Amino acid sequence: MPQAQPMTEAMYYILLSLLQPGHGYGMIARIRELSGGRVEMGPGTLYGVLTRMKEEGLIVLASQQERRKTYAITQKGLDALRVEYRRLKHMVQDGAALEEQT
Amino acid sequence: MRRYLIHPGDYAIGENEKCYGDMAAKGWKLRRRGAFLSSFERCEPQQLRYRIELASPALFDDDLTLPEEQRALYEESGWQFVTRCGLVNVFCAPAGSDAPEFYSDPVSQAATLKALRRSYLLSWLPVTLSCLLWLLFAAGMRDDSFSQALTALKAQWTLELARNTAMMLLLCLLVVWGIVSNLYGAIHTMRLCRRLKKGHPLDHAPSGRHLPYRLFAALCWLGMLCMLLLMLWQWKQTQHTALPAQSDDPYLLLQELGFEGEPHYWSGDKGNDVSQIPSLAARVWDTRQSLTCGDDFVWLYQEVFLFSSPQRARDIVPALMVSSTFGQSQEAFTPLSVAGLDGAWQSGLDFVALKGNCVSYLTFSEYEGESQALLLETLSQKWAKVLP
Repeated sequence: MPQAQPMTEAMYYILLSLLQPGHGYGMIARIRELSGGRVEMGPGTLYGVLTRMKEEGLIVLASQQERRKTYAITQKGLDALRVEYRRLKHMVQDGAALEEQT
Repeated sequence: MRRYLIHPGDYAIGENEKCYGDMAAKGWKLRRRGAFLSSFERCEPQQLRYRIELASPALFDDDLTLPEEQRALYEESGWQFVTRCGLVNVFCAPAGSDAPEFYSDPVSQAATLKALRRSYLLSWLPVTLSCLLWLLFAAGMRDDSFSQALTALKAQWTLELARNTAMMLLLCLLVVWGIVSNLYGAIHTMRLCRRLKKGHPLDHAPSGRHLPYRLFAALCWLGMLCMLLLMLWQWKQTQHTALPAQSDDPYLLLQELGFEGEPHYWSGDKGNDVSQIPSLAARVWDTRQSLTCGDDFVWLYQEVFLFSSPQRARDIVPALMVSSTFGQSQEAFTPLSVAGLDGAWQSGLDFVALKGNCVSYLTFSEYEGESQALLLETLSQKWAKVLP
């Protein structure tokens, strides 16, 4: 099983931003761009989630230049992201009836 | 130009951040943070946002610094590292800047409190273990049971309180402050952790919090400062001198018991000396005298306490018995009847004598009953003359 529980919003957007390898500050900017400015991720939140996802094997250190580390998504991370995307998509589809009511 | 301020404890994250921001607005920029004090340097009044990030090392990890990667990430986001002390790392940014808050999700911030909570809870461990080891060691040294070791510890405490009142009260205040501050820190950190886990963001500008605790801490520190000054005064007033040929103080000299001979010194000038200690609870005389009288070697050790009330003198008698060199318990002492004394007790070479506000513990080298009876009779006569 790629993941047992639904992802947090932070995990989802970090994995999404790592479809292209990126470093910490670049990820914050990428997440802002991906979410259309809706998600403003704090550097502390980002660092905590990165550490946890690294331990879980969802991401991997791709390269390091001085203090700046670049991460990339792993196959396990990609699978988990796809599962979450499908779950969210189904949820949105299930909620379509709401739009018909209004 | 520098200024120092006692900052709130590590658990009060928002209070610390607000304190540093307020100081910057008054023209004092944070320079360094210590365990209790923060130092500031003069600057133009400026609006700065201060934020604290706690390091989260593993249980046995000695490295308390923030990982380089995390610090670099904060600096790239617009924060400037200012100082660190223990687990606390302080960053700042201009008030109107784009630097984002460290945590967009309070739940992820809750995880950073783990090491701080652990440090408060584990801070009890060294003191508790030291006390336990000391008791076990004391019990082993005297071949006692644990309860006897506790009784000996209580006796030692009573005597030290009489000998070094200021130092013992300073120690008490330090222990009370240490216990309360660690307990308060642990409880507050756990409450903050619960709030963050429920999704409530950290309050970066709280007002008027922790006032009762800060008042308590201030009183403790004031008390400790007073006791420290009194302790220094006591040490300065304490006199260590060679025993005089005659004395009007309430201790005995071997000459007053009829012994004449050459003073014997154990090492250097030790062996024939008196220490006069002006403690807060009592005046204390501590004497050691050793004489070589022909083929004989005679020695006398005394500790005399002159209290402000007879009750306090009487209260210390059991402690003197328990901590005596040979008797080592109240049960080992036999009461004696000596004219002029309110009480007298003997256990082998150990004696305790009481009259009014004055109590004395003596260890005398002579085994013969006649010499021992002479010791207490002479003491009674001397006290009748010199005691008020």
